[in-house]
Amino acid sequence: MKLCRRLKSTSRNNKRDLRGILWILPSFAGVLVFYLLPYADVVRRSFLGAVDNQFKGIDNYRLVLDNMAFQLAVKNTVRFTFICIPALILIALVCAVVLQKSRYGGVIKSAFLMPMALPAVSVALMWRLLFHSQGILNDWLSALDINGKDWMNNSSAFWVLVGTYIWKNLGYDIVLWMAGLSGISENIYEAARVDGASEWQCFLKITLPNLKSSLYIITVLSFLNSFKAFRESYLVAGDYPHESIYMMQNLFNNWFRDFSFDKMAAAAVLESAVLLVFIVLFQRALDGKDYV
Amino acid sequence: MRHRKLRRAVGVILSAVLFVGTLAGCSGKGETQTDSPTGEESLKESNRTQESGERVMGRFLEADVEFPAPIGNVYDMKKQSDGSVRIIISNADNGHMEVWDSKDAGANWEKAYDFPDELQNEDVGYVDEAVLSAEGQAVCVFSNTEGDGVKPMLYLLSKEGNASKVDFELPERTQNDKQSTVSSSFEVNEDDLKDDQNEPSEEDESSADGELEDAKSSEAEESEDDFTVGNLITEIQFLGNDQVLVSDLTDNIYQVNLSDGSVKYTYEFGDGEQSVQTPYIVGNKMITVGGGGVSIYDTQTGEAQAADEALQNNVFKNGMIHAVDTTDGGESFYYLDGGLYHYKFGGSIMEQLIDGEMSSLGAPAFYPIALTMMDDQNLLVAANDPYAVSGLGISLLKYTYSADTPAKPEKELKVYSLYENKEIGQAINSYQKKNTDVYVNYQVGLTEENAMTVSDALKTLTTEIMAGKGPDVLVLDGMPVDTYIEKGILLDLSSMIAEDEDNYFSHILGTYKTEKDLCAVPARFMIPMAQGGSAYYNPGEDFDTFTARKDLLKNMDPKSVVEKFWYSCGAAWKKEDGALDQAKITDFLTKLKNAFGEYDSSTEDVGTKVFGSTITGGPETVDERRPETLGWGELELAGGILNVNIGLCNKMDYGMIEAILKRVENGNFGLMPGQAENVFVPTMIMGISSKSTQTEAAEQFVKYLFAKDAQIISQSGGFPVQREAFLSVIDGHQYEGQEDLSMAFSGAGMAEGDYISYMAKPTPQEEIDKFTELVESLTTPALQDDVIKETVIEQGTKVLKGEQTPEEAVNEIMQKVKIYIAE
Amino acid sequence: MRRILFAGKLKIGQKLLWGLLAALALAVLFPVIFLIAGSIMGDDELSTYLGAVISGKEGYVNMPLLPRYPTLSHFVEIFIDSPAFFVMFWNSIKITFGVLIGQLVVGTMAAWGFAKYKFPGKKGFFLLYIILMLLPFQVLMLSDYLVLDQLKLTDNLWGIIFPGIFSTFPVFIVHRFFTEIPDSLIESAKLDGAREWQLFWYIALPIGSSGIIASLVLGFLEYWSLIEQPLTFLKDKSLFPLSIFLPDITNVNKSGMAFAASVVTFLPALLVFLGGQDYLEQGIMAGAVKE
Repeated sequence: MKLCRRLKSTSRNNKRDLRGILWILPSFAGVLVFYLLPYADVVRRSFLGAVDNQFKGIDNYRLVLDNMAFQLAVKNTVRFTFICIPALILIALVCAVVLQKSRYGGVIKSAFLMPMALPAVSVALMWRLLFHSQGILNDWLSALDINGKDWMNNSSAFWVLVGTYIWKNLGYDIVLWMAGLSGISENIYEAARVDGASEWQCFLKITLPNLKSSLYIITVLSFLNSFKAFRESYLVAGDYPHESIYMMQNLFNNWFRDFSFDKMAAAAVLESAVLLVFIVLFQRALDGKDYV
Repeated sequence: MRHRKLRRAVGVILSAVLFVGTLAGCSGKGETQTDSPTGEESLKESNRTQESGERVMGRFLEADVEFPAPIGNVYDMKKQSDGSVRIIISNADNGHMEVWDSKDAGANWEKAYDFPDELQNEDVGYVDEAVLSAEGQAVCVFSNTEGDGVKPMLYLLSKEGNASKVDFELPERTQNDKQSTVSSSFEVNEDDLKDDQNEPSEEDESSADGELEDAKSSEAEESEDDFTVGNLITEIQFLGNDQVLVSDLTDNIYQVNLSDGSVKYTYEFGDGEQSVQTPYIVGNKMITVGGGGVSIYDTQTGEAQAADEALQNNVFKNGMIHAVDTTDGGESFYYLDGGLYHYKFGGSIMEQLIDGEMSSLGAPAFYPIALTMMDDQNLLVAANDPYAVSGLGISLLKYTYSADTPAKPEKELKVYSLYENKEIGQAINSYQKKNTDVYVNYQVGLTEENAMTVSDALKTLTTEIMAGKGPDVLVLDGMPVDTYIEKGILLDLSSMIAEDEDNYFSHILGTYKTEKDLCAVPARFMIPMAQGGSAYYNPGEDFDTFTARKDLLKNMDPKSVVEKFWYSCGAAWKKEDGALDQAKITDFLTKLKNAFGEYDSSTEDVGTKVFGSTITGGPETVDERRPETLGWGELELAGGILNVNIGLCNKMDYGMIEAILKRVENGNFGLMPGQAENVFVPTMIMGISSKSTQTEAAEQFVKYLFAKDAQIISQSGGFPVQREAFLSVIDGHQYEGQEDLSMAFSGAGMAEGDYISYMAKPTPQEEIDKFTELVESLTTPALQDDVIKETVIEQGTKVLKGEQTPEEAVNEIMQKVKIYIAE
Repeated sequence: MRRILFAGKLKIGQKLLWGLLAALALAVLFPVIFLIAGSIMGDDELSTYLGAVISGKEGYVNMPLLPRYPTLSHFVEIFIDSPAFFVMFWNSIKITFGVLIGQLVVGTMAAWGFAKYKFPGKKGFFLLYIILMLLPFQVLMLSDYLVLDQLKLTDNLWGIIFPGIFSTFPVFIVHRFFTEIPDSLIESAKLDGAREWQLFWYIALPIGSSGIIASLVLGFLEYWSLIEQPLTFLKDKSLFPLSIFLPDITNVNKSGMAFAASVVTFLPALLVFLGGQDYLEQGIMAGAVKE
């Protein structure tokens, strides 16, 4: 009897399992063909020679890790990610808090959103005119008696790129934060104020904790968008930009051009491993709860 | 809240309008060209099944007609009523016009007659056009320059070549057409005349047109009305055996009786809107193609007939009809337009007989002059063709239908180059005629119209090679050759090349030789050379001495200065460990800046203007000047704008070199000084993809490129590595016995009317020996790495423009190259 | 009393902040305005202003934001004189809408499956989806090409559209939204005899609509300005989308056209963005906040 019931329950579970899988099946089939299969091929290639397909074991990984260009690219990418994402998120939060409280917030918010709709090619066009050594920015600076420089050709290029990223994504993140803020019930604030909490305390004690779950998705989306800054960088500065903005994608691009698929595959596998660890840790760190 | 809703609604509506608008807009206009992907796919699919199903047989094979004399131009070619074929050519050697016959459809030729002397006297005039009838008569337009300006006359030549003047006077242009002045003795083309037409010139006496002036015309310039032209004949066609159609500048077409010169009908088109009409004859019908489309006239009644819709549409689609011929008295006709087509009047389709893609007919710069249908399965075509096997720009081709040849060649050999390479285009052209089983598909990665970067093009190439769809043969110019060799992309060619190495400049051939293999072989090379007066240049001096002179490089474009010196210096920079020598680059930039002096942005355009290059009485040579070549600045050196001319030498025209050097004090010519010595620049570097599935065919083709036949081709891509071909390219043999061949050039910085003129002549033997010796001495290949090259040029240009110090630039270069090498 | 004082203090601070924000917004908008200004300037004017960068003249680029002689000639040039531009525009439309329609079907279904069903390995799968979402394109470029080549999809718009349809990004966005639908609602619907697809159709889609629209808006931006994929997978120029149309601005005569092309590319994206802006807010965050 007991056995029987257990059987029954598993069979019902199985049915439910199957239905869930059915829902994701079309998507998964496509993912399998267009993403997982290629990814498996990348993993395979990471152990093979570039063109001759000879088995090379972990040589490729060793080669990549010792590679000066790889180290530089990793350093720059990490630096870029860890500077621009927190900066973006913080600036967006401040803007969002201010805009939230005003009636005209919506208009300004729309203004902030516009850059995101600007195609990368147009941005590249603008940037060439702005940051050229004889460009608009230097024109303004010369009016202030400051000597300009060739912005894309020295270490300021990095900050131009950070600026581009923030400029493009600020509106988006503001929207996300504002949505998060609007979800916090006004009643909680009222109650706190009655208890004599200052505005700043309210912010620290109520607003921030309530935004924690928004933080996860904002970070993930901001991270995703940080890859796209490469488009502008590539269109403006080409294959070999200034060394401060030489990113993983530059390296991948150049490796690709030169048939270095061995190194490229190994680096790609390493990158996805790091991503995996990062995502899991990040999920845990936020509140020890999986967002699945 | 209401505001928000409103905005949202507006946004949604606008997007919807936009979407629908595009749908509507596109479906009207772009239906055919923007088929849905599925449509294209199914189309491709059906083609594929067709291919794999039954092999379709039957194809016209193309062959070059062997002609006993070098053809400088073809005027007309026509099948005769007795079945032979007759052609009017000008002999490339002496510019004389000759008429030849062939009884066997082009296999053997016999000269019928030379044009009579009265029509060949340059002092009296020249022949513009000539056409043939089926009975062997010819009518030519003789432009008489003796009297008042250019006077077009018609001459009838009998079958045996006896000339008689046709009593036809081209009507003067009326007052509205405006008289115009032009200089004579040049081939005056219609555009020039059109331009002049716009200037009212009643007051404007005679010839201020200095630009087009030339020695002879100024001699002849006596009276003030000297160059007044009333009207000119632009086109002429034979109609039957006793009439011709003549079109003129006013866009009228006259139907002229040859017996008495009377005009039977006049067809008027001159409403100004339509462009010049080109008449073609099909039987008794006259077809004209012009701005207004196709018109058909019955020449017996002089009346217009309705043009078939199919004809009208097709001409609009393809833009132009070129040459036309008929085999059935005018029921149907054949025409050339990027392929051979057959059209029957009243029919609804144009039948394609020859696919231009697989023959010369479809080449972008192939302009047919005459089409002669011997019968339905044999035809001859004469055309202007820069890839012509003769190298003279004229192709005389024979097409023969072969029923047992597959409609498409069995093998397709893909040849890829990053930049267009004319030599290979021409070599493919002749190779394909000899090997009918191979279709050589030549692809160029970077063309002017697509704005791809080199890197994008290379990435596309990479993916295709890796997917096994890549080219079989690669022209490696501009590609990372060393990387490709290292990665095993290229096959070892050493066994193929080794056979008769003695016939080649082996040190150049072996540029990419490593201990174990030879994967890339240059088929050509250029040499960094310099010319100038002894105050600025002496052969054999070193880089330091050369660049120590102030203003040495004045008036040059900073970018090309860096590029030119990159060739002669770059080879010295690479250290043993692969890194670049920082000290040498600093030295390089500092000295260049010193020799360049202050940058003056107003002189940027120097070296880009070459006016009116002209040749009298000889074949027209293809003159292509690229900024990095020596030819780019030679006229400026002669004009005194440049103190010294440097660049890559890719051709040897001894007459020109001599004429230029005469203009400067103690003129010298020799190797360009640089940090590296005895440098050559390998070009047209050939390789075979290791992923190719037909290496044998690829090898055979590459072998052909190194044989004398293909090596002898020379346009602007460099000297051949094969010795015999090299000699024939530099010895100027084409000028032998042509004492009357004078050249004239005028360039920027020369006074109005000033020009360099010289007599073309063969290179003296001692100069040939000297030059050959010089080539033997070249030992160092220039550094071939476009990433480094681009970086150096970019930074170097900034230094010369004064935007950067040499030290800053060097740091920048070193930093970028460091990353590049580390990758 | 105290509260009023506090509020007053805050107002001053806020006004300051406000001014700052407005200034920032203007700075952010500057390039947009600049582009539009450039697109209605004549060639002569442009070459005077931009000469420093384009043709290496002395001095600086100095461009006023109001053209002296406004002209629409560049737009005319683009829409009437260059049929290629029209073809590209149409290709962009095909790619974008092809992908979005596919995502709407495939993505929402998968999101529903992940949100409301339990099956073994679900967490693993979803993590996989997130990782795939975050992988840069260059990583899979070659292998993607090989797969597409096997499927005969290279040099074909479908080769761009299919991988787009199966992008995991919309799953990630929409999934968060679906998880917020109370289980009780589903249970009660089930009790009323609703079938699985009815749950999806009548509950998931309506309630999740703003989330779905949000993901579509983001998808539109993404595929409207796609660059790497078309460059890699397409060879036939007649298939190129608008996003890789960058006329050579170093050519003085083309710079006006480049500006106009930018504006034309920008406008549809802007419209979609403004139209979908509110959904963006509601759609993306609603889920996260109520947790």
